[in-house]
Amino acid sequence: MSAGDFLVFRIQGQEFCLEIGAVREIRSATKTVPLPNSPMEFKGLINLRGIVLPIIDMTSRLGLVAATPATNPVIIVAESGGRIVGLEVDVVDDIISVSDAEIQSIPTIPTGGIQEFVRGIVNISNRLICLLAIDRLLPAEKAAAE
Amino acid sequence: MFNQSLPPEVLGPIKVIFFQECDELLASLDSGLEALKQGNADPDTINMVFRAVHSIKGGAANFEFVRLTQFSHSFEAVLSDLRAGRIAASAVLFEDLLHASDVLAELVEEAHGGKVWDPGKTEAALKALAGYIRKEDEFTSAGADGEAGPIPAPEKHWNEIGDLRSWRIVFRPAASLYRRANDPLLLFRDLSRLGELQLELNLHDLPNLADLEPDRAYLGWTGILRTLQSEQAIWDVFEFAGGDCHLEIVPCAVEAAKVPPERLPQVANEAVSSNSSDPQSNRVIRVDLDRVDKLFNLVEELLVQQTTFNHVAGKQLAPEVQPVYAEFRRLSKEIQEGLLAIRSQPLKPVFQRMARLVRQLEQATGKSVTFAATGGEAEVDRSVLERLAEPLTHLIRNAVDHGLESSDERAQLGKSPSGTIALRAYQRFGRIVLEVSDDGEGIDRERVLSTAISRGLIDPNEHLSGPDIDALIFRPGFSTAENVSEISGRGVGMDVVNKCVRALGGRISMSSQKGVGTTFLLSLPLTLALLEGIVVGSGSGRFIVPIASLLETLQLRSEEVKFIGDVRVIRYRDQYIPLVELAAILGYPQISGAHGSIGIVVEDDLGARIAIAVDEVFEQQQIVVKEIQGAYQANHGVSAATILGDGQVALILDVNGIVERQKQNTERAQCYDEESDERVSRWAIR
Repeated sequence: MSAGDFLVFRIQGQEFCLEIGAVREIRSATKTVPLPNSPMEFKGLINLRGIVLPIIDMTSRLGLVAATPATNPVIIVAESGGRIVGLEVDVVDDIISVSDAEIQSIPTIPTGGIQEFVRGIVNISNRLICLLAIDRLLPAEKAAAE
Repeated sequence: MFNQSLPPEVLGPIKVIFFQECDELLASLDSGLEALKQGNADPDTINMVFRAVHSIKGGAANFEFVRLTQFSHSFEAVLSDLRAGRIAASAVLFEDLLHASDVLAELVEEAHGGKVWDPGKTEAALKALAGYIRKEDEFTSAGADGEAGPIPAPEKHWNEIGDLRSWRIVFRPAASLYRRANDPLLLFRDLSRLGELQLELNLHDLPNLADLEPDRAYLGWTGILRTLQSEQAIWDVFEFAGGDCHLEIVPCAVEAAKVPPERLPQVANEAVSSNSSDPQSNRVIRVDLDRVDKLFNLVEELLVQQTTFNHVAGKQLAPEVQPVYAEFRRLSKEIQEGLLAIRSQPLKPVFQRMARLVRQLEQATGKSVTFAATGGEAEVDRSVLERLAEPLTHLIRNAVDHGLESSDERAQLGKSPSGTIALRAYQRFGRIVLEVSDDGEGIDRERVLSTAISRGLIDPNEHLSGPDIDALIFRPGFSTAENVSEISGRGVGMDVVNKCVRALGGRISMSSQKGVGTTFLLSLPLTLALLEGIVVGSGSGRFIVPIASLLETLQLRSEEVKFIGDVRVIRYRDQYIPLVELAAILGYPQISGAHGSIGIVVEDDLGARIAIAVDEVFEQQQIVVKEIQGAYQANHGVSAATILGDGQVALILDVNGIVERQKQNTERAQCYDEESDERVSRWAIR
């Protein structure tokens, strides 16, 4: 698997990370304009310096229970396959360097719906960080066209 | 030749340009031949056609595309004879020439690294061409026999350019030439630069002073030009006057006699000139579309910023700054319009592709088809043009393959044996409308209905109106083709066409009469980048209603709002139309059941009207359409978004989608009555 630098963030107390290459910027969450007839995890649109950017609510996207709403949610502007989206998370922690050896594959025992988005598990200094696959977080092109 | 002297990194881009030019040349060849076939055998058209083939040959020879060079050489020889009047124009000839142009297009594609075409087909076309060429012309008949015909060698060209020859030029301008601000004097000045020019003024058309109409053209000139330059160079002087005058350029008899007939001098000489001095290349530049688009995006940003500026500071501007700001706004708008004009292109090339497609389909199906295209001069933005060919191709394939009957069947039905496919384009309400119609068997509603039921698309008990049945053919999973044929292909149904059209912000509809024919109507925006709209407010949100679908805005008075069942309606032009709350129709939570006080009456592409209640109506403005990033664009009721002056995102309403949603809501309401128990689950499924 691809070692390198990863951005670590927290959603509902759990730690997740994304490859730093996919991250364009981090900004504080602003009010969104909701888009009708869209999936629940899709929070709405914001104006990112002239780009109309869709915001995905990661709690809902990953199927986590929104126990405590974040006080200051953060938007990670990420890019995948030429598409740009904003991922709303609770808080951004740090950037970590990970070697191949530190990335484990997902446990074979079922871990629920979240499995679909997880590429691997980073295990360093007793932290368990799920490495997310950015391309799987975005809605499929085809499905969205329907 | 280029291949021997130039490294590949230089050659590559030149080849790219060559193939780009080929596309344009093939297009003008086709349109010229079509015009000739219609009986407009004027010298200008023949010249245009000749030059197109000639230029392709020149390039092909330089890149050593042997088959392409040979073929275009034979083609050109026939056109050259036609131009010189050595062969007579006839319908059969133009038919053969059109066929040759198809083969030429295929050979260009082959040279471009595409599919390798059947040599037999090329041979057959060559034979047909050879039939027209005088027998003594061994140069071309060798090529027609399929042997490696001699490719004109450049050394020969260089020898020939040294010939001092005389040309007789007859030039009779039409009034339109003057109207386009062309000046014969300037043309003569350019001619005299090519060599020694003697001019004679012809006054015999000049009427008496009493009969003279000042805005008509009466003068003509005959000149003798002695020059070392090629014939092409002379024609090129008249490049921009070509359509507005009668023009003859012929070698003078005395001098021409010295030239052996086989040499086809004008052919050989032009090959050199087209490589060295094409005056058009000075006026037309080729720009990578990406560069234009980048610039376009920047201008969009500029306009957004300007709106923001206006919003923030517009009212506080000192009086002396206001005119400066107004000028600044005007200029930005002009830049944007200029850029749009750069990206606009006529539909013609796409229409010509379709004409070629029809000819190919005629061969493949053995059906005889007359193709009539009108409105090709209408211009659309490049973004739209690029994506038009796909839906049109599907529609025309289907029309020829399934729509039209075979000649025998048609004869039995008392129809003309040749079917007609008509492609028509026109602008309406700031959109481009394309009609594809055939005079075939029409679409049988019974069969559509039974197919839809058998495919499980609809419930057998469902009662559908005629247009609703027609609309079924656009549903995914529907295809009336019982035998999947090679032509229409597997799995390409109307749903694909529908999807293409919708992705362009367009709508498609179909009307058909059994036994009479079918018409598909596509309505598309002229550009995907800009939109004129009014800003409306509903709840805390701002929305854009495109002007194209807006009929009227009116104050809603509660006494005028009536009910049909539980649907609110208002009277508009002697008709009751549904009144819907914007927030409700979009599925936003309604704020304390408040009703908007302003009604926006809109109309969808099919003429269905609906009134949308909103709270506020703001100004009309030009909206820069922003694609919604990610993959959330497809949405009933919303087509895209924009950014308003205050930086807020506003959704652009799609009236067709809103009407559709209202229909669905009404259907759902009907579900309640029938199956009240399943109410909740139905809602959830939808």
